[in-house]
Amino acid sequence: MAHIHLEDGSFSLLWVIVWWACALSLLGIALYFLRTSRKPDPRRITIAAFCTAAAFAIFQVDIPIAGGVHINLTPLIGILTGPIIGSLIVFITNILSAAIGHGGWGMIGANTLVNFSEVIVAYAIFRILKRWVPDLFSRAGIATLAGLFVGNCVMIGIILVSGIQGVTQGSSQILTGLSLIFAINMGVAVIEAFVTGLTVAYMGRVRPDLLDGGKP
Amino acid sequence: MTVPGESRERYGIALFLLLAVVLVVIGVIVTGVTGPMGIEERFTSAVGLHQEPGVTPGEAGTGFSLEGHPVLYIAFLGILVIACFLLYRKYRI
Repeated sequence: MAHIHLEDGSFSLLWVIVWWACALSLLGIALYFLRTSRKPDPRRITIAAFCTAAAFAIFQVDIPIAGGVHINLTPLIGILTGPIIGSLIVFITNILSAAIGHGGWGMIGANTLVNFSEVIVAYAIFRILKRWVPDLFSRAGIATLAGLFVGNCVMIGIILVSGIQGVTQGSSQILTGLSLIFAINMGVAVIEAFVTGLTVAYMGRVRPDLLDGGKP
Repeated sequence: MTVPGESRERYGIALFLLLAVVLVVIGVIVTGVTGPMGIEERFTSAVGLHQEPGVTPGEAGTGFSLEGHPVLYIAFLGILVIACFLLYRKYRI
């Protein structure tokens, strides 16, 4: 849902390097935990592969609502695979998306951070709410809305901090424009919340063992 | 009489639906203010960039459209297949 749809050259080289460095640091930590933990469950690897393929495909589908939006499935990735494998999935998805012209190469670092925030928040909320909201559909839906809310905040924060090259607008004007995108994104996030909720509820019925995704 | 588990389930669904309704209403109002725009168009407009004409992806008549050049999908799919084949051979998965 939240994704920085700007071409290369929108951010200065300094900020491109900064966001790439942050994303690579995050991936380094994820790889460290993966290598030091016990051998990954083959089922989880399979789910990760399916999530990567599904996320990449759904990234490219322009849904004709409000002029065109796309969903990410990042909250579903967080719920099913957890933040460690999820960080690798969003990185790969962003690389593949940039390879076909969806977002610039220089934006991969920033977009990985945006998507990772969605993954980790959805994962955390889904688990925190387990005690108070036992129903899988509504819990996954609420976790999705929370994840996408934070993802949109991170997206706006990264753009405001980085600044846009070659524009005369001030930060307040950019913030106003991005706030409109935020509101539309959150309206469409409801669709993603329903998709995620239905998927998780179905998996909970047929394969409840697959929903312990984030446990090491 | 409702048991606590049922009560919590209803509470969860009610909370989710409330959030959904509020967000949809806000989204519809804002869409009405800005009008229909593509993703890139909305972004470039928001940050003050000017979009070059002709870069908006066209729809294929179904209401959905693929972003980027279709040939690149095939090219990268081919690269991925070759890479997976080489990794498969090297590590004998």
